[in-house]
Amino acid sequence: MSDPIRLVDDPRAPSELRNLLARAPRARALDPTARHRIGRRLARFLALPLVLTVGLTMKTAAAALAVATGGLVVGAVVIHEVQVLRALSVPLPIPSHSATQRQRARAMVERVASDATRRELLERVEMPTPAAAFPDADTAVSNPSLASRGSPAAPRKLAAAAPASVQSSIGVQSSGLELEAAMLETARRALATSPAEALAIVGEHRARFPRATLTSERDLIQLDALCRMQRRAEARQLGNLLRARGGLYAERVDRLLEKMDTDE
Amino acid sequence: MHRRTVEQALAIERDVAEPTADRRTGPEAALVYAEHAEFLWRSLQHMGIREADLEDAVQEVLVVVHRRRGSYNYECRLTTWLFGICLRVASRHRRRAYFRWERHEAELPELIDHHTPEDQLIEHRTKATLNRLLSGLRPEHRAAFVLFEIEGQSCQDIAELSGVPVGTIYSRLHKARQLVDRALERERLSARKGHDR
Repeated sequence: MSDPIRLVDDPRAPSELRNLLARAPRARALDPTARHRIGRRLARFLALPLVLTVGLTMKTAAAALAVATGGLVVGAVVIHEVQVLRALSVPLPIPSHSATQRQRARAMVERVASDATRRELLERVEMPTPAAAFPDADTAVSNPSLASRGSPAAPRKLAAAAPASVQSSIGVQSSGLELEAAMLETARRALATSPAEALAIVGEHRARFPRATLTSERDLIQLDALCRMQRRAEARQLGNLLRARGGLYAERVDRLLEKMDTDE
Repeated sequence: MHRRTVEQALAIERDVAEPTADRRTGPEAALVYAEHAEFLWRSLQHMGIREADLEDAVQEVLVVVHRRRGSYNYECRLTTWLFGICLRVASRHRRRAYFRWERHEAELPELIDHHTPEDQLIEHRTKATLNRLLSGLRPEHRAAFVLFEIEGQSCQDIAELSGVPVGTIYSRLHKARQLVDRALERERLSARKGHDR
């Protein structure tokens, strides 16, 4: 069976629909700013996986409870818990505007946090909460209609409004893996058009991240670049080193070296 | 049943991705992000995730990848596995939209190149109308429709991406077209009622 005619080309399709489809935009590409933001969030998540995992489940349960029972009092509790759960994924003070809220935040950390993270999270509960850092908190409490918006902008606003000292700690905490991956992605993209540039980026990666996580990824890109540049002796030397690591790398290394030999 | 090695599964097209050290743990979320962020971003748009929710949705997909990486058995392409996760995340977003106070209107992406204010107005209206027509579609139907009718992919390619038989894609496309037709009819009726007043 072959594909149907596309509606835009089908004279039997309504003309207005054909016009709409002819003018319809394609999916937008991922811009570098958004890529950077998502990478940072991912790095933070990977540092606190258990808390975020449980937090997502509890947020859903908390939202369902608020809808089912209604009431401003219950809504205020849920809103605060949602704020706390969001803040757990961001290294900022956990929002607590009163002693009661602080106590609830402490209880939540006790419930959801693993042993490894509980101490750090409890410290964040005790940190003073600058009002400017949580512009949504007061607004949400006074306007319950915002409670279930689940505004995706809230975590970004929290991070953006954090004091400079906290922001710098966010940068230190979250930049490593994300920067590594981004740099290697740039190197990988350069392989086809400019393997020399890819090699330079790999060198920079080595200097910048002496204790890198993505070392195998880096080495494979380096090998690929050397092969493309026909620097045979270096490629073979590196290939032997990678093969010596054994198992999963051998096949990939062999493929690259074989391609280098056949491209002579 | 033939099982691909970790390298084969991750080395799709021009990948130079690092194979995971331990095959039992599956693909690492950080590497999936480094290699397939663009794919996730576009796929979620095809499934109707709003512009404002895209970053959160991508994050959700990566969370699922991290939590469920052990379940990837390397029998399908990695992008197929990721596409399935995107579908589930998009379905969850759609269900959650009923609990939001604001109306849920899935958006089509913005065109970057604008010529005149008139072009901008036409584009805005096109987007708004098409979003309304597609808003009633489930993510898998919407993805099939958008990928075929707008992105111009073949049904075979869409089937491989989705990990379903091509017949299923024909069926989804047919269903999507029916729903779009009905939505178009409703638009016409409400436009006529507006005229008659």
